[in-house]
Amino acid sequence: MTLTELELDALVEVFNVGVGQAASALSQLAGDTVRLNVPKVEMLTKQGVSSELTAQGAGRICAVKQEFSGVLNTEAVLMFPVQQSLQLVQMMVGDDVPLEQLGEMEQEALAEIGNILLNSVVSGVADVLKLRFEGSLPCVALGPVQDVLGAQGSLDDMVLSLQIDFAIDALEIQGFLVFMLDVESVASLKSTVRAFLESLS
Amino acid sequence: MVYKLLIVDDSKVSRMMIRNKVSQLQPDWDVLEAGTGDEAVALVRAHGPDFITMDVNMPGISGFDAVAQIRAFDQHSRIAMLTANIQESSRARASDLNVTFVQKPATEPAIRQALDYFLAQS
Repeated sequence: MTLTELELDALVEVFNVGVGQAASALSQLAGDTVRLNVPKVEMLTKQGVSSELTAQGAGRICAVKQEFSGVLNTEAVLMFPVQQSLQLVQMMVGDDVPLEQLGEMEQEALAEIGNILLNSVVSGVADVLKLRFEGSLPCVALGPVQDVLGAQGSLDDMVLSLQIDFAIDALEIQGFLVFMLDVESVASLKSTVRAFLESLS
Repeated sequence: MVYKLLIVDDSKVSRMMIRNKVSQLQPDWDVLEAGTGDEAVALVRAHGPDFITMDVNMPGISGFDAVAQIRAFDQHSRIAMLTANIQESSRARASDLNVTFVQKPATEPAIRQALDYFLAQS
């Protein structure tokens, strides 16, 4: 199952809407501008996704994973280099949590950041494609990127990968968002994107 | 006037953020917290809060299901869904349940939006 160039282009545009909403949420939290790259859409193995992310600097990461189900199922993963995790937590909670409690709040705060960003993207995508998704609860994982991505299924599984990297320059925070769709979901995605394209013409 | 607010969110961090902003804007209010929808329903029965901020995606029953249960015995509390799940389908559900919708993150403008809604018809 492959997507045509036009379908891939449509998919990038649709995800751009969702990512724009996530950027707006992140920018409100950070109080600063968020720089985003255009989503990259490819059919890859999970190992391939992992290698690409590692090459971009996502070695040891803290990740928030959430599964979204509906007409198509996707595993969404938000990743940050592990050394940035406390900085992110501080960005999230500001003065709302006393400094001495920051460490113990780390996982909770990361889960909430992931929940906000991943839901923002998925909500944008759902609205443009006129779909409905149910999200699982966010879970936090730490470790090398390939361990995090390979925790479910096999690293040889083919997935449709949508990768977006972003940065908050003033806070020196860099992050990666990956949406992985299994092969069965790619067929649903293809027909959904076709219907979307037809609605435009 | 002293109002009673119930914050419902499975994330402790999120509850802390909301509580902190509310106590800055309305220091006299009584603030209760619930970590699940079931707990929220029980607290509404026991304490009858004036206002409720409700997360959507929680373990156990969802925020929408909790609101439906609350509405079966309490028509008066004003409820704001405070969530990152801003899909059109969620907005439509909020509208059906006659509650407002405020987008997370729980920054001061978001909390102000919820409080303005609560106080507009009090």
